[in-house]
Amino acid sequence: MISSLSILGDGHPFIPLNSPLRGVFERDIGRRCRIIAGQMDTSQAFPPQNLKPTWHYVTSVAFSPDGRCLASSDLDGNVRIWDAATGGFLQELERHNVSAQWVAFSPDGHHLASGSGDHTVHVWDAATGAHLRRLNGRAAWVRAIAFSPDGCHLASSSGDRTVCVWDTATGVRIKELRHDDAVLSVAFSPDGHYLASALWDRIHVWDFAKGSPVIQKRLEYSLYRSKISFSADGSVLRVEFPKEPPVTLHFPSLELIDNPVNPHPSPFYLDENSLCVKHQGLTLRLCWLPDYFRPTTPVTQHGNRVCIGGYNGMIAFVDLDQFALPDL
Amino acid sequence: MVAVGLKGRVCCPVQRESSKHLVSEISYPANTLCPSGLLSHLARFKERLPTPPSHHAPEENYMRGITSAIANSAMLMVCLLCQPCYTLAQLFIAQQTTSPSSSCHVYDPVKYNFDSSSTLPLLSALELLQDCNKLSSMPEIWRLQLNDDIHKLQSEFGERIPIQLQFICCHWIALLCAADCVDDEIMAALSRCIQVLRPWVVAMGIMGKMRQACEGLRDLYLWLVCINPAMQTPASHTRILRTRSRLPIYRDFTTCTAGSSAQRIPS
Repeated sequence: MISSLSILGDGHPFIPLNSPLRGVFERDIGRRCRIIAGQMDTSQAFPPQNLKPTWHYVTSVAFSPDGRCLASSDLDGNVRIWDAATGGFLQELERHNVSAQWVAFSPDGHHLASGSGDHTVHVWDAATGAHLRRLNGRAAWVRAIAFSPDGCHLASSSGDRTVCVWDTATGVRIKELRHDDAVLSVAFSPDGHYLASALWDRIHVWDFAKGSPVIQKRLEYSLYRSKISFSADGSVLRVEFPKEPPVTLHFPSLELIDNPVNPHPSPFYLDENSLCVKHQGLTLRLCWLPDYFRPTTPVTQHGNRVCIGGYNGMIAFVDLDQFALPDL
Repeated sequence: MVAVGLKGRVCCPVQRESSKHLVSEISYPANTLCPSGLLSHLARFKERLPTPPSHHAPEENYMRGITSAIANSAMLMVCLLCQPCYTLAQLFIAQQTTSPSSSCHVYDPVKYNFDSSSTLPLLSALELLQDCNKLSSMPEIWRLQLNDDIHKLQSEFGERIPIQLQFICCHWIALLCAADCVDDEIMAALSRCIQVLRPWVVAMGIMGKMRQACEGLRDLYLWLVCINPAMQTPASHTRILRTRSRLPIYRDFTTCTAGSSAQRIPS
């Protein structure tokens, strides 16, 4: 059964901004949601009009460290920067020749890196959008990129079965970690000592300094379009999916954790089209995204702001600032 | 050709292609409030209703689709009642002459054995429907959970919504659709029901009747916009204008939008 009670809460926050319903139920709409398609705000017209269905989708979204900006990459090769608070379009960086697969901000927020289907990684000035560096040498699509916590290294995973690490200051390739399959995602541990990489059905952990494998774990499901990340204390490795609950692994054992004790703040995730959070063992569904929005990226979170990329170039911005979980 | 409903009234179901065509042709006075989303709701309303489940479409997905349709329907309903509906009437008058016939859901008084000549049962039903607001007293955390995950839901629901009220929830729209649409008392009672629409949808959802709720809202919508061909423009305008003047949310709406644009009532 669907969550019909959510209609009493914030089950329909996607009311058009100019609808009188906003005036009638304004006090009930505790969160602000917008879905931007290209540069069109779909909340002005619901369901979105003049939207040509395409397979063009958003491949990655990333918040800047200060949470003010959001970068997105899409299958058309666009790398765009948005105002994270309003969902307003800020600028578009020089377009990749083919698909842009991943974007990541440096920890200091000064640089933005994008990985592309043209086998290159580009580094940009996040403030001006100026192109700074082009990193070559990959033999296949760049699938994911990640900055080290100190910002000195940039790792990229690729379909050429390697993870390459560059010195961000010089652009020199300093390390190559070989796998036996395409590498879909990559992440540094918070202390920078370890690097995790995700293949189609496996997760590898490497000692970054030595470049040697530490442990690997085979999972029972596909990690395609997943994103791996470490918790802030480095004790947990999370695998996030666009439309399914995340998988939590203990680090460094990589044992599956069935009922993880949630860090604070609780990470959000999508279960089909509902934005969920785990709270005291319960799955709470904060809102239902409209069914014209089909997510293609895992939920990206900064504080109480949440963004999700989707098909047709859509990006969902959800602001949970005014939302407080009810007492149990 | 159009479908003829109760008492010779003509119901004009929304036709996707013709509506799109009309939307592009109708122009609005500059100072008339007409949200851009409203006409798109009208044009796409039928389109938004999900197709029935087949062996390819799991029931769960269908119900998710229903959720969106419900949200749209409730939105449409309120928009309809609190908007200056001159343009809506215009839309449906024009559509009546251009769109082909189509089946529409019309209440059958024989089937339900209701006496449509008396407004008393309907007025009582609309009054009792207000009790759906009792659902607001259920724990707020439940609003964030799937119904199936809430063990006490049915018992708590039964305490707040007794069996008689459940019956009214299921049939009030059918009863309404059998009534005279220009009856002052009915329209006044209906205007008081706007705020209870959401709890009513919730009640229908808990009873597992979301599909019926969705169809009911569509029937209600059609009942509200139906036009008598013999006196189409005057009747529709009169009803709509009288509805507007009586609605408290209309006043709220004009207050909250004052200064941004002015209302203009067609003469």
